[in-house]
Amino acid sequence: MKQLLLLLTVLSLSLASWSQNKYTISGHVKDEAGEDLIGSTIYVKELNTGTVTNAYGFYSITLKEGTYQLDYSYVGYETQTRKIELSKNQNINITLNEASKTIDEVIVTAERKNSNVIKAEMSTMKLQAKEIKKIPAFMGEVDIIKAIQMMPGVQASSEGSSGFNVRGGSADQNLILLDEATVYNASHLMGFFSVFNNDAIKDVKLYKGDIPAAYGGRLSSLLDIRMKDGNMNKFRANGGIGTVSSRLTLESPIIKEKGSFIISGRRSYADLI
Amino acid sequence: MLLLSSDEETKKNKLYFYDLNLKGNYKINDKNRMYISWYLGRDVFEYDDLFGFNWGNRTFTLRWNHLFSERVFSNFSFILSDYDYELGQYSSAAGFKWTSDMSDIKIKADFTYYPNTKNMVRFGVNGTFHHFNPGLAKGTGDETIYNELKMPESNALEWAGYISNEWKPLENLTINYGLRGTIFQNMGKSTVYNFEENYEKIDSTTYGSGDIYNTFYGLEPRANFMYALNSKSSIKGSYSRTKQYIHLASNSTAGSPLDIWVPASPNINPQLADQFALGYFRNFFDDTYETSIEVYYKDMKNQIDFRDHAELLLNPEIEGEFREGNASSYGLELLVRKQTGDFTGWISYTLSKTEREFPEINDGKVYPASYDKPHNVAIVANYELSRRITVAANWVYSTGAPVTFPIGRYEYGNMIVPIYSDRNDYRMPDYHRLDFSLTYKFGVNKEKRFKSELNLSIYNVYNRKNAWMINFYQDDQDPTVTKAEKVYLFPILPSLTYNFYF
Repeated sequence: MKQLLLLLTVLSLSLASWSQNKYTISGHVKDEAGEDLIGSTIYVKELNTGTVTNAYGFYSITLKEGTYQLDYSYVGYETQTRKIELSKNQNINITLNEASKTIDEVIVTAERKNSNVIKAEMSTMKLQAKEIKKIPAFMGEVDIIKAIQMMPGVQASSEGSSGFNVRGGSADQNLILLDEATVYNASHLMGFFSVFNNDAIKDVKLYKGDIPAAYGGRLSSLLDIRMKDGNMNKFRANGGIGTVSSRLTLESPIIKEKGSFIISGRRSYADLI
Repeated sequence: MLLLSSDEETKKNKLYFYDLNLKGNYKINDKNRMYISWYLGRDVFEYDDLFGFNWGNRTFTLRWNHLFSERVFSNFSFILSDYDYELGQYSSAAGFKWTSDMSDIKIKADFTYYPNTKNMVRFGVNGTFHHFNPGLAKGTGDETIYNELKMPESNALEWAGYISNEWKPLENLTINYGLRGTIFQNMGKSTVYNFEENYEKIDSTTYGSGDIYNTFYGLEPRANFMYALNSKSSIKGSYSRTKQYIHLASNSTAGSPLDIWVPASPNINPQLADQFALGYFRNFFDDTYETSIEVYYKDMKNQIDFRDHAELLLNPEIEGEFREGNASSYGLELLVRKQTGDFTGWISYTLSKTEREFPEINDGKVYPASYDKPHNVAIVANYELSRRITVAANWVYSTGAPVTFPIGRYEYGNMIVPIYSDRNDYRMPDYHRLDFSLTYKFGVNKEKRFKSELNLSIYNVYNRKNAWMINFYQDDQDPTVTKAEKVYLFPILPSLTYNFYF
């Protein structure tokens, strides 16, 4: 009963706070190339609370009038701090710089990196495309699914397969989304390679349970794959020549800081057999 | 091994794949932004211009981000998705063509409302139109010898609406609660076969174009909590119910490009799962080492399996091959992860058990799922030796997969007939493998725009012959002797990749 009273008090307090003067800080968090950073943390020091950016790098946080310190952080990037006098709604867009190794030691103390502990989210694992690229590649083909298969609770369906089993679920119980579109068969060449070209991918998040209510239709997991948006500031190209395939990716602003595109192609050699 | 053979005969074969990703985005103003994404992938197999087989996915997403206010974010999506394959022999008068495809059209609206620091409300609706054309095979020449074989086409509508709130009643407590409601409707034009209890076809019913002939409903509660013990550790728990209305008809654990998706229908129920999970999260050394322990229990109803020797390809009565049963899985997962510094990677360990129980399979006895591998270990490590040189390695281990083996035989006339064990009563040998890679970067010290790197990857470094399949056959000389033969896929496989950036 005591707990219930406490809960009601808290609830009514949070409702009461609606009537005070409140303003919203909102905006996008990006990296230097203008790519939206998904799941970056915004921490309000004074209130020991915060929020995270959504799949489009957007955040919104509503606070009472006052002075606040906001820390913007993302794994592998330098934390940025903003002091804010909040007396009206504010739009704050942040560009985070990739942490260079030499100053990595310094920022450890300033950064709030415990978001994996304090996020109300479990049974998930997120990988950035650049982490996936570091994993030894089967026949030189960097492969998202092969990285997923090494996460806890995930098993490869068989050797050289793009199928995976999550927490005792069959391979068809995984919802694989590429920019929110369902991919029905994730295999190239009978499964030795997956259909995802890592050069075109920003990041990948696997939900092994605790799937958000926004997603459904499959029993066991959600594999949320987000493509890169393309460089907002300058033309960039990258490519590769491998044992199995060659790749080329071009990205460029359409109008600087307003629009961009990316095109990425990959083709294996015809005489594979 | 197919990929590496250099046989003259196989030179006539062609096998390749390609894919293309395209994405554009445009910020109209501070409140509106558009995204367009497109994917096309294809695999092509050709044999000397006589036989062709190609398959692939296509996806398209058009999205519009709109801010109704600083506190209301919305996204509207229009999504297309398609998977299809075609195989055939076209050149002769007795040629044939076999096609299959499934496609989705989806519209979606998602909203996030950020009223204050204590609540974040997400809600939305979406609708999907599925079209299934599971298989059509027919002769192509004038003097065709083939009859047309067609699996009935069908359509389905899948609707969903959801609302959830992330609520922070206390500084160290967050509770996320939500509900998802779904409706799945089978829609004509279609022919549905009716089966008696032994799965023999009785008759069929044909529905006209646009007729809704079957409807399923579902409510899927989702909830989790996070209770922070201090800034370094927390306890989390979750419950979720999930439903699945379309199923993959596949005979193999690895899957094949020919596999087709079959919707829930008057003959097949939607799958249902309830999952409970509890976890302890703890960071060490200034949050550089992230660790977690999670335990889960998952109860699964209306799971899909197939009768022994099921015919899943070009079978118009495929629904009669489905069998339904229940499954359960529980396990413990450990993760240690380091994401910053010269040395990065993770170690994961999973202990789990997954069992299935189908009244009509394995005499109704419980059997391990074919992907029930109790112990799983993965070590992923990456070390930047210098600005030029990075080395990486991973090692994976898993218990062998369960398998059904012949355990005896009897003679029938002059034939020898094998007797099989209970389903999945034996196990393959354990699987383990080490991979290694070394990357050397060029031009790191120069302010040049052009940069490149050379990567050497070695798959299966200690050349373990991991069993992929075990075949049993009779000895040529003495048919009373049965021999077992282990098939493995990949020996030690080095590869070189050159990457460039400018």
